[in-house]
Formats: sequence, C-alpha cells, structure tokens
Amino acid sequence: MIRRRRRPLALVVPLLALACSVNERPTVAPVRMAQLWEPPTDLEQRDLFLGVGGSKNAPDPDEMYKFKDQKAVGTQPGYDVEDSKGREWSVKLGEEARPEVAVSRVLWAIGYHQPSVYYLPSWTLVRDGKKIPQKAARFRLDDTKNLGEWSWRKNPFLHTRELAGLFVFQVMVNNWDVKSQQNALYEMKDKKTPGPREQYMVKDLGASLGRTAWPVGGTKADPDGFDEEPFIERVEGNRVHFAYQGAWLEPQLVRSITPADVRWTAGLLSRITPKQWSDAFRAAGFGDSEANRYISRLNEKIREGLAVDGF
Amino acid sequence: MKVRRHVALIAVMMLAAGSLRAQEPAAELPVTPNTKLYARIERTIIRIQSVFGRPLHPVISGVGPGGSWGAGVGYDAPGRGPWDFNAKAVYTLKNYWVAEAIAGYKDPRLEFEMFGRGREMGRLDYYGLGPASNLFDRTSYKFRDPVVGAHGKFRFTPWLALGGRVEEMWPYASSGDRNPSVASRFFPTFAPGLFSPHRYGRYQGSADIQLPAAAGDGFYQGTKSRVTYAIYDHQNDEQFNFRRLDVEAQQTLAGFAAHHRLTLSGWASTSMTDAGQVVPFDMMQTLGGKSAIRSVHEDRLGSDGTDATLRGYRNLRFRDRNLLLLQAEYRVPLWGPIDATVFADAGKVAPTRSDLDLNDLRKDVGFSVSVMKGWSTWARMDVGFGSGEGTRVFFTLGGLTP
Repeated sequence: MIRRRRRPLALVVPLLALACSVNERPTVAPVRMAQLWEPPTDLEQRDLFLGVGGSKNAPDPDEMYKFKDQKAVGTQPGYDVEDSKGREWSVKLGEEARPEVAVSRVLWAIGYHQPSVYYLPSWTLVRDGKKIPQKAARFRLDDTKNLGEWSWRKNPFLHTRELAGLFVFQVMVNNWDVKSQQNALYEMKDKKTPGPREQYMVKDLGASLGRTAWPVGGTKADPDGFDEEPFIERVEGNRVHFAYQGAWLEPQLVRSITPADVRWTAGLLSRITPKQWSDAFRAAGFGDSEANRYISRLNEKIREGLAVDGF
Repeated sequence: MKVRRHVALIAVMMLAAGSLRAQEPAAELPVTPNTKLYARIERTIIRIQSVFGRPLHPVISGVGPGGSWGAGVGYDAPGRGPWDFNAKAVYTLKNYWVAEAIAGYKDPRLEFEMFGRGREMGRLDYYGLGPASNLFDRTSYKFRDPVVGAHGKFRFTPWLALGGRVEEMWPYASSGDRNPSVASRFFPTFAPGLFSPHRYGRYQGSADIQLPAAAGDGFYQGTKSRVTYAIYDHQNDEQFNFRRLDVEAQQTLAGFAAHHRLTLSGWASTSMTDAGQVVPFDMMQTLGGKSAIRSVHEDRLGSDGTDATLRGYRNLRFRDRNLLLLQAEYRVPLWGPIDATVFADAGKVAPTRSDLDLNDLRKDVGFSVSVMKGWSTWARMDVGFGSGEGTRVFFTLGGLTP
C-alpha cells in the first residue's frame, strides 16, 4: 500500500528535475540566423547618420517626387513616389517619421536588418503636373521585394536569444505597436547587396520614443512620456517584468524575456558611441536638446539592462 | 531710373506669381477610409481609458460572490515613484459594499502595503461543513470583516522571496439577506462562530520559491511554490484561536506546439487547533467557483492565470478545516491576445488532516477563454461542468473584480 503511493512521487521527481535542467535558449544555424541578425563586428564604425543605405541611396531633398500611389493601410498617411532616377520610395508622413528613422538606425547598428530609410524635413510631390510642397517625411527606398509578413509566433528563430533581443529592443525604445503586420520578409533586388538575399525585418518602428499604453493610446516621439516610463519592474524566476505596456497583440512576447536576453541586448547597445547616438537622432531631424534627452534615457536603460540579475 | 525700378518690381511680382502657381499649398494629408475607422475606434478606447485612468475615477466592480456588479468611485494618487496610494468605495446591486485605502511601496526587490478595509456582503453561500455537504442545503449568511494591517515581501534572489502579514480584523457572520438564512438550518452546531463578534490578530509568514526551467518559449516554465503559515490569535475568546498552514505548488510545462503550455497545480491547506478550540466557519478556506473570501491582496498561486478552485461548482460550495485541490490546465493561444484553456479540477475538504487523501474527490472539467494583457489576464470566462451540479459560468474582468 505504501509502495503504491510512492510511485507517482517517484515519477514526479525526475520530471521536475528534467524540467528544471534546461535553461538554454536554442540556437539556429548561422546562415539561417544571418537572415534576422548578423554579429555587428563593425558596430562602432557604422555610420548612423546615413544608415544601411549610405549616401548612395539617400533621397535628394531638392528632387521632384512623382506621385505613384496613395498609402491604403495603417494610421499614418503616406505615398508611393518615384524620383528622377527611377527609384521608388515609400513615404510616410506624420508623427512617426522621426522616431522611425532614429530607431531604425540604432536597430541596424546592433546587427538587425533594416530597410534604407531617411528623413527629409521638407520635399516636393509632383501630382497631376502640380508641384505640391510637403512637410517632413520618412523615405524608405523600395529596393527590396516584399515576400510577406513574418509572424512573431511562428518563424525560424523562435525561442532564440536573437529574437528575444529584438523584442527587448522594442521595449527599450518603447515601441508599443509591436505586431506581425509590422514585420516583413524582404528579398534584396540587387544581388550585390551584402548579406543574405532574404532578410527578416521589423519595418515599422514609428510608434516609438514615447509612452506605452494598453491596448492603444501610447505616444510617439514624446520625450516626457519616454523619460517617465520605467524600464524593468522586477525579475521573478528567470523572467523579466517590464513596465512596458505595448505588444497587446503579442502578449507572449512580454512573458518570454529572461535577464540574459536583456543583458545581451543592452550589451550590444552599450557599444554605440556618443557620436553614433547623436548621428542617429540628427539623421531623424531631432534637435540637440530633444535628442540628448532620448539618448540620456536610453543610456540609463542600457545601464539598468546590463545590471539586471538572474539567468 | 523710375521706369527701370517699375520694370524690376513688375518682373519680381511676375516671378513670384509664377512660383505661386507652381508651388501650390500643401495638400491635406491623405487619410484612407479604413484609417478613419481605426482612428475612431482608437479614439473611443483612449477616451474610455482616460476616464478610468484619471486619479479620481469611476469604478465598476463586484465586491464578493452573490453581490452582483456595483459602481463607485476610486482614487489613484498620481506618480510618486515607487510609492503608491489608492482608495475606492463601491456599492453593488445586491447591497454589498466595500471601502478601502491602500498605501504601498514597490521596487524590484521589496514590496509592502499598509491597508484598511471595511466591507459587508449579505448573501454569501453556506452549505454546511465537510465534503458531503448538500447543494439543497444552500443558505446565506451576512459577513462583515473590517481589517487594518500590512503585508510585504522581500525578494532575496530571483528564485526566493520571503513575506509577512500582520493584521487586526473584526469578522462577524450573521443571518443572510437571502432565504433561507444560515441560522435557520445550521445554527448553532454546524455553523461554529455564527453571531460571535470576533477580533483577531493575524501573524503570517510565507516563502515563495520559483525554479525556472526552459527559457525557450514565450512564457515562464518551471516550478513555483509557496508555503504560508498563519497564526490567528483571537483577542477575546481563546476557543477560536487557530493556526493555518497552506502549501501550494505549480509546475508549468511546454505543450505540444509553440506557446502551448500545461500547468499542473496543487494546494493543500490545514488548520490546527488545541483541544477544545474551533475554527469559525466563516474563517475556513473554501472550494468551489472562482471566488473566495480573503483579506486585502491575499492571492494564491492558483492554476494558469486564475485562482478559481472547483469550477464545476458554485462559489464557496465546500468548506472545512482542511482542504486539497489538484488542477491541470492546458493553454492554447487562439489569436492575438485571446487564449483558451481546457482544465480539470479535483479536490475535497475534510474535517481532519488524515482525511486529505485522493479518495472521493469532487471533480469537474471545463474550458476558459481569456483576453491577455502582457503578464496578466484582462478578462476571462470560465465554464465548468461535469460535477453533477450543473454547468457553471464565471466571468472575471481584470483587476476590477474581487
């Protein structure tokens, strides 16, 4: 009788031990991982003013941009336009233009793929033969073929540190609009482009640098909100609880981050030099005083991330 | 000279006019119809959030089982760093009421709260003591439990936290507002403590241990456990002194697909008394439904995102000095923030500790649908059946319901 009662216990103990023995994130082949993230061996040398596209891809502010189409989805207005060299651009107007460019620069700096994006404080649209001056906008070069969305829940990098790091980054910049619709798998049109032909990107980073909220109602490019929102609330078990309230469509991401993921991401960001930080925000049209507030807060978060306890 | 000036002026004006023709004013930003709809929905949500997010705001909430929904007013002190103060008062459709104030401090390692609360619930269910209580013996009692106290927790390491709670409380159970009342069926033998105004000092210590397992999924996997020991020291009448030991454990395992998970949990509670002492019926732990009568912010580890017990039974269906609950819950993400679970519950109450075995457990099965908000559940519906006592549906709305 006593033996019969001990049998379930004898089963449970090894099961518990087994469950507790695995605390590693899986890895994927480097060739595969390079589609999402490549080790930024030249991080400190990267030009964060011009970004991944460099000067050769940069749009000319004096150019007349020919209207092709009007943006049909999303909350931010925009156009598809063509310049005199026949290059096509996706143009985003509105309050997301500046944060998207700054955050894209920093994300590219730490090894994640990003499209060629630029900020123009003013530009001219040609539509039906009329020249229409336009306000500030984000220009994204259409030098890739969009193969479709990739899902935060189902992708080749599931459970890896690099994917977790990509989400930690979204938390650090307070990008509250994290959802699969903002992700794209791009095929590089130019075969000479360095890196893999197919690249997984978070292409829409505009809902950043403000205060997060659930489910909507966060702010964008709001230095006060960005300053006031705490970063890490606490660590329990091997999970980090953030003050972040975004990603309402992907709540599993919020529950998935370990202290090691945060340290890894903060470690990459800590390598960005003061000049690079300044360049990234200058490229996005932020004035010095506003840029310095963001940079200062981001560096506070990096220090907090590097110091987080746990495994 | 004059003519030259005029010609120059006219030339400049013509140039300006030409440039004006070419440079038309900036067009209104194009906004597509679906964007307008989305923006309208977003604005509505923001408006609702802004009303409930103000320091002084309305509250829609329940107070306790059987009390229906109520409305009231709440106050959340605006940002004071790690310090926090909030208060609320709510009155429900069934004449339950609560008024409470809580001041707290929270940082990554330390959290504590001081609180005061008064509440009255007039239609709580009582079916008698023991595992064999009968559904048709359903009676009601009124319960008032003013309490002041403090509780806190210090996290020594990510896997270990020690906590404590000190309270002074004045629980009082009497005849309920709904017939039949407890007094008509169970008083005095089978409802110990009824009509006795109590005054307790409660002194409690607890240890929380979390042993994480795999990091490789979108949720916490591993073991959580909690041991709580509480002394209930009656200030006027020693016959109602008792101690209580609660042991809870929860194991979360990966499921059959990404983001699926299996949660196994258990809870054992035992009350100890010296010879001649009894535990008042209204101070006993209960099984059944999703509600329990607890102190301020006195939560359990529970199952997967809920501390409901036997969900195929009515709230507060079983009570006695000792209790055992075993639960299994399998979670499947359906879409975005919507998750579903299927669950099985089994448990029993018992008059003595030696009766806490696996024989004659009350069982049920069911499913739930939840709207998740990051770590927490924002809204949840549990449907339990298979108990032989009908199908039960329980709604929980985030932190708004007790």
